[in-house]
Amino acid sequence: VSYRYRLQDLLALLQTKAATADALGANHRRVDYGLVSVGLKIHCLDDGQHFNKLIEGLGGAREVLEVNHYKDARASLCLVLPPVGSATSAIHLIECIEQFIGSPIFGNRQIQLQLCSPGRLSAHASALLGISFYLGSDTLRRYTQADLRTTFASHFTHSRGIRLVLYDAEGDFDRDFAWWNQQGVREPKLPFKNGRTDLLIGSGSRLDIQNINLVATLLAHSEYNGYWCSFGEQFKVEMERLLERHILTGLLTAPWVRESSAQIGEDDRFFAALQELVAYAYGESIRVKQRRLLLFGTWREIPARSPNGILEEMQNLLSKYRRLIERQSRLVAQGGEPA
Amino acid sequence: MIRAHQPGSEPLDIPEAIPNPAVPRPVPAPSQTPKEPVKAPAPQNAYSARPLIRDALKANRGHCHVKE
Repeated sequence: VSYRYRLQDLLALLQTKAATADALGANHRRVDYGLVSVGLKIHCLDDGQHFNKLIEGLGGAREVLEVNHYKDARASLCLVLPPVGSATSAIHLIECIEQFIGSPIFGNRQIQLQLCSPGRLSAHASALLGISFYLGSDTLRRYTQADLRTTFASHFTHSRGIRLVLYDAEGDFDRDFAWWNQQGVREPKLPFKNGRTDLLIGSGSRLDIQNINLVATLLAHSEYNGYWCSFGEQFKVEMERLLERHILTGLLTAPWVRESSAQIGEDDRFFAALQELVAYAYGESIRVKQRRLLLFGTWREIPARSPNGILEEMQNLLSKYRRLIERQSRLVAQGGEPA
Repeated sequence: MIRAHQPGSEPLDIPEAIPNPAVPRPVPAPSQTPKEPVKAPAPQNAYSARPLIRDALKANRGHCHVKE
């Protein structure tokens, strides 16, 4: 058990300081464009005092925090939020919590966000998820292994290693979210009885939540025969080509998620791959800045226009699939399916 | 901030996080600039309030050649 309160209780509490929280109550199970549901964990690296009133209001630390043994190894607390139907609702929920506690969550270096997507992805898809998140984020981050160490890093039965992408520990799972199946029928429950693929965002943004939700949907539909299966397959191929163009295909062979068949040394193999990606992205960032300097003589704050840069290519890929899904969803809505 | 330094080379400061240059920065909402002061309409009796101009205009009327 990772939480013992209902979303309704949380929303009722938030309404006392965030007037828009009640809108979430009616819409929190609504799924946008057939994308997968979104769960969130908030790891607090400071003393977490600004969460005190919220935790007390939900029943106290024993009911809210101590039932959950999982957290960032450096964190004072990990608040597990009940899942919601869309990235929009997840962002709204965080904004309401920000208003309640009177402190920012997005972009706060003392808050590490973890985004949970339903369904366990394969090791290959987990690698694509981690790489897509990193390159698509509005912030390029450097990591140490301490940033990725959780209380389950070396757990006896559910060891998750030191990774960016983590599987669930077979805890609670809420299946009551719509799933668009391959025939275009909207099923009332997710096809997974259990299982999640989580991503440790770190200090995160609204864009991170939207991007991870999009990519996790494409990959899950590709692996579990959902409505967006063909787009998911196409996305995988395009991501592999992108990495190939930049001579980064080798990153996909690293163990981005810890599987049950893990071997000694895999944490280091993963971290070496992550550092290679980080170094490449930082190098790209500097190259883009230098080119801008050459083109304009002086520094200007304009978006990158690199024809072949990996960062811009990733943005284009995410925009392309977001547009494709939105356009197809509108057609589906007009044609009356998924039923 | 991570500082990488090898003997004989310039110290290199590597920030822990930098903005992704390929992501357009959100445009900040335009700040509320103070509006230009609105010119108040002249009071109805403004003309008579300036007798010197009125008198000058009256005096000039005699010099105008208006076709009838």
